[in-house]
Amino acid sequence: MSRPHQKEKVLRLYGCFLKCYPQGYRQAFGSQMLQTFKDHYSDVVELDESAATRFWVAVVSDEVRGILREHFIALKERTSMNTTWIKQGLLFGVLLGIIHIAYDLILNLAPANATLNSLFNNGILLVVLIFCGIAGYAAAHKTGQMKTGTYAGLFTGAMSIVIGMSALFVITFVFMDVIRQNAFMLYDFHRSGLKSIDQFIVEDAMGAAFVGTLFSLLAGGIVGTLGGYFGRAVKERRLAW
Amino acid sequence: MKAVEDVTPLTPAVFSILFSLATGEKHGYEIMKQVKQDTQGKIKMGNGTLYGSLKRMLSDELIEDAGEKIDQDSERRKYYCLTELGRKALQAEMQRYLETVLLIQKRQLLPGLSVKVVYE
Repeated sequence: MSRPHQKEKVLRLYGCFLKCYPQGYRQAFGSQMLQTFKDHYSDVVELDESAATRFWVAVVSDEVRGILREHFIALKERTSMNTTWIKQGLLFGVLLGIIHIAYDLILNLAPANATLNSLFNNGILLVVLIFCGIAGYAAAHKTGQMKTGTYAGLFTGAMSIVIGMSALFVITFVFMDVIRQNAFMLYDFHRSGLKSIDQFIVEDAMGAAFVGTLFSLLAGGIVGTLGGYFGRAVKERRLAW
Repeated sequence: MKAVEDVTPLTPAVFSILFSLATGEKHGYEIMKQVKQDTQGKIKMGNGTLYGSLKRMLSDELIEDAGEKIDQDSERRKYYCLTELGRKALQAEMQRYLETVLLIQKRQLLPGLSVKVVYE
């Protein structure tokens, strides 16, 4: 077999080792590793063919260790990244959930007041946006990855909606008597044309749950991504500085 | 920015790579050869070990990418050089080694060892 042909085969064989490394590592160092291997092979085996066995034993043992180590490190990094967005989502989701509970209690049990109602409705929307954004920012700032911001925002929205909506249904059934007396509820009930106010109250809660879920998930995804963008940018700027 | 205390003591592989880069920027295979030469063949660094260490050293800011160059054989190679932190970490580690050698001498742990250090 001619030398260039053999070298080509050897490089293809080494390329198989490179394919076993994690993708990010391979993209960063694959071509350099192939070049270094080529230099090393030319220096050792092409000058002294009797050294081939020793050379390959060393290469295989080093590459196997390297591949295992890099996969372990990549797994650890992934785990740590997942833990970060779950932690941020959980923290801000629970806080937002508590605010949702307060909102449900005030809106359903306090005497009807148009100004306050409008203030609370707009306020809760703003709070959802802020919390999802901060969760996204914090997660991306820690990991340096924008996508963890999206996940943290989404998880915050989902977590808060689970808490908030569960609370809404509990409040609805426990305080049905009080809610029946709510002036706004009575006004909306008369306009709805339904025969039973209890049925109207439950349907109203279900509507709120549907709209709330949709808004929280949308806001979580979008604002979490935006927060993630800023979190990553600030981290990168700080590192560069 | 990281401090020297955050990155020291160095592992033997990292120390050898920093030591090889102390005389100037090098590409992967040059580092590999220099390490082998500096350690009289006691440390033979394979590709996997070398690039795994380079990756961690880049993220620890001990070394940095010095750009790509086309060498005499028309091959394009990426070069690495020490950062300020890398230089300080290497100095701190060499100082530690030197203090150990002086202690070995003082306690006569290696009979016949004679080292004299003159600080300017």
